[in-house]
Amino acid sequence: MKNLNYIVLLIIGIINASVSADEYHYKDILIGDRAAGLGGTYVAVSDDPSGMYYNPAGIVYAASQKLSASMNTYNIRKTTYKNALAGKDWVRSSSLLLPNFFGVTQPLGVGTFGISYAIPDSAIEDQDQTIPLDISPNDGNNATTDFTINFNNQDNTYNAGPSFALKISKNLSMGITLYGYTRIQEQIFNQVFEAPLSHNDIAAVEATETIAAVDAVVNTEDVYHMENLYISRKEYGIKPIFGIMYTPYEKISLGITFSNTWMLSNTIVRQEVCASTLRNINTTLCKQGELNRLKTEFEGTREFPWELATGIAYFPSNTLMLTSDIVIYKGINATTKPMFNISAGIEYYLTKTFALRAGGFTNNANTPELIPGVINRYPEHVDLKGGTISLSNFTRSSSLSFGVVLTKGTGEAQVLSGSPNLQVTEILGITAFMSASHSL
Amino acid sequence: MHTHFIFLFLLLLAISSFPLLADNFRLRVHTQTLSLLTEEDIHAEIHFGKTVAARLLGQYPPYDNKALTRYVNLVGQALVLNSPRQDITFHFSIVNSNTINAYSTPGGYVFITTQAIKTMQDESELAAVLAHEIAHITEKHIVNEFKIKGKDDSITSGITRIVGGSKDSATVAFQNAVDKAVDLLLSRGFKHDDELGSDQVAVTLLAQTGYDTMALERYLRRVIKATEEDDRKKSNTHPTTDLRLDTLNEYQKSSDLILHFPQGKKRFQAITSNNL
Amino acid sequence: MKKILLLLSFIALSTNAFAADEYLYVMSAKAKLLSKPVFGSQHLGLISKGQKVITIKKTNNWFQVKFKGKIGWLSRLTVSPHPPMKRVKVIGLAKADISQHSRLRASSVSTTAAVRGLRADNPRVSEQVSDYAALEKMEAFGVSDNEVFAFLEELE
Repeated sequence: MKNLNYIVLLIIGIINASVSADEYHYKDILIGDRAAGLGGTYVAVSDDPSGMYYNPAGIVYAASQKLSASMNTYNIRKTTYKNALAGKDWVRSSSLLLPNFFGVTQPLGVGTFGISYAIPDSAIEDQDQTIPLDISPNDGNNATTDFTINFNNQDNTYNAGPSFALKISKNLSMGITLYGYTRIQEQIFNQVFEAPLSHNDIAAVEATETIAAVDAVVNTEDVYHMENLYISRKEYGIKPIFGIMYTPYEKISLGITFSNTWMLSNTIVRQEVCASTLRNINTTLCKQGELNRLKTEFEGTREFPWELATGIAYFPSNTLMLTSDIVIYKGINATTKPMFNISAGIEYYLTKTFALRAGGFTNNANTPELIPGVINRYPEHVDLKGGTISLSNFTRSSSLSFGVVLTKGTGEAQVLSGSPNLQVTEILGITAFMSASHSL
Repeated sequence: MHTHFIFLFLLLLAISSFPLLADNFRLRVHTQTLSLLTEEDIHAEIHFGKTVAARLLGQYPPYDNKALTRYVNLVGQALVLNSPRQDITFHFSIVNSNTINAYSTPGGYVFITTQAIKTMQDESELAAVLAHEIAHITEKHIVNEFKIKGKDDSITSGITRIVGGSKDSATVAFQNAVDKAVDLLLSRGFKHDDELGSDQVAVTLLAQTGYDTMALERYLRRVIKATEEDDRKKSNTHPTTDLRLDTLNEYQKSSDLILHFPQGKKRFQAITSNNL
Repeated sequence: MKKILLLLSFIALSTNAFAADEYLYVMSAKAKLLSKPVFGSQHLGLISKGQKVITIKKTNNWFQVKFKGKIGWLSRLTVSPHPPMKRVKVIGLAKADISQHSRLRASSVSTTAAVRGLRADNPRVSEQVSDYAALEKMEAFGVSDNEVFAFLEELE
């Protein structure tokens, strides 16, 4: 009997497409080899092309003025929703090989000019999962069926644009990066459920105490539910980053950046199809015995939270550096909460040509904690913690870095749309990166 | 109580005697390798300098006179022996031209025009002009401007090129730099700071070698006179001569470099009158 | 405890003092060690290329150094913090190299011309001819160090 209850939930509350969206975290992909090795702690360091992303004021301190840097990452991310589907875990995984940063800087007049391109957020999910469900009622007859999910999601955020930084005085510099912001998402989500239930099965179920539940399920011989969703999203905007770098004492560097994204246009196209034989299904899209389509187009903009980042770095010697950042994000409205991330990193040169870096960071969810018993607007809340380690090798004109970023966190989600049930959710991310930089 | 003070004093002394790094504390230890010169770099410099020198010779044919060439080489090498660059071999050549000028290319190639020698009155003036050209080489003005460096053949930089996706466009870049260097020497001219810096190194070299340090100023004044009638446009390869003389004067005064060492007038006139 | 701290600060101090001991290397063929930071001052001796001296003091153009017990002054252009490199010689260009260049010339000239925007008043640069024979002749001409020293001796 237990299983049938799950089927009820499963069918009525088919999977909510908006779980695990990229925008629930701000620090999913670390940019820049040195920065990534330091756990993304770079606001007070920032002295290479990836500094244009973290704190443009720092690029004036680059050891060599003409620099180029590029980074490639291989990212695996696994999100497990415990017991989400008829007592089974639903696992979403994303893996991608991503050239996620390129930047060049060069002196221009009194300052330093640069251009960079960064992908701070990216997911490529490709899932074809068939979950076998045992729906045998207690009559001893075996009945099994499959729940099939085909899920494909590509969601990338791009930042690209110029930077300019100036040394105002010996211990103060300022910089600005003007990124164009683009987010492009395409998602296809198919869910198919078919239950070869016989009248006998149903009769057997009806004999038990949960008649209402069975009633909700079926009264025909062959039950199916099919839902298809296609989402296409295009967001365009600008993201200026203002930065200041200040040296209050020798060997101490302070960095502050303020940034915000203004969305200029946003187009979301949603196409949904539902066909169902479920008796008392009654949503806008799905009605028993009908094949319904719904196409919605949305144009408008959404608000982004501003970010205020502050960092401190300490350079006790030319082989050791310690740094820490706090990034505060404003809440957008009553439902997205203000939150912050902290990070810290250490860099140590084993030799003149090998540097070891390690860092730790938080990647907290910007969604509020889920309230049990109601349907939450943002159906996921998972705070993540991460650790990084990297090794760089320097030659006279170039450097090469390898590193690993590990992120992990446990939280809650409401996977099934229309259901207030909470699922324990685990996220595990592993990113391997390799990056190269040249002095030109 | 006393030991406390001694201890404090010593500790303060210890701390304060750490070398102060001003604002370069951000530079990490790997950047030290940036300034290290390798043999490959010098190879690259010589190779580059040769190519530019061959172009200059294609432009200005050498003045074929053994005695005068030997004389110019002796003066030049005397300065070189007192210069800080013993890692390259310097070569001096006289070229046939009616313009008053001298050129040098990286790797140690120095050229002086016949007209320039005709404008000089003594050996210290010849030494001054050669020293100025040697200074462009020892101070690596062209090498730095065009970032002439040896190839980095390490495994790391090989992988870096692959990761970074940079193409090996070294040959094109080389030719491009050669063209630009020829342009710099023949028309664009050095940066003013480089010219003024070379003047200062030149007078120091004169002093170290034992030549009259006022020779450069004397020569420059004469060149102004000679070219004034002509057309002062020509001096786009050298900074405004007035500014140049003022800066040089100031430097010589402040550095005690007003030294009336020998001028070698007799020897100079004997050789040039017979061979020019 | 106090004694240990005292000892530690002594060590800190002494290592600093040790670290501050800076060396310089003579770069010119023979550097004149002078009694005062003035050219023409009393001549204390010649230090030849590659010799290591201890720096005592530095001014804009002079280093006060210690060498073999003698303290004197060296002009800034005669020394460097890095030891001198061996003389690098590249005699002649490899044949392949030259032919490669001659092949490259036409295209590289057109490339740079396009990039730079050649100036009409200076067409010479675009029509460069290289004279490698003259270059070889220039390289072949040499004078020995002894000839140079003798030549300098006769300077008056």
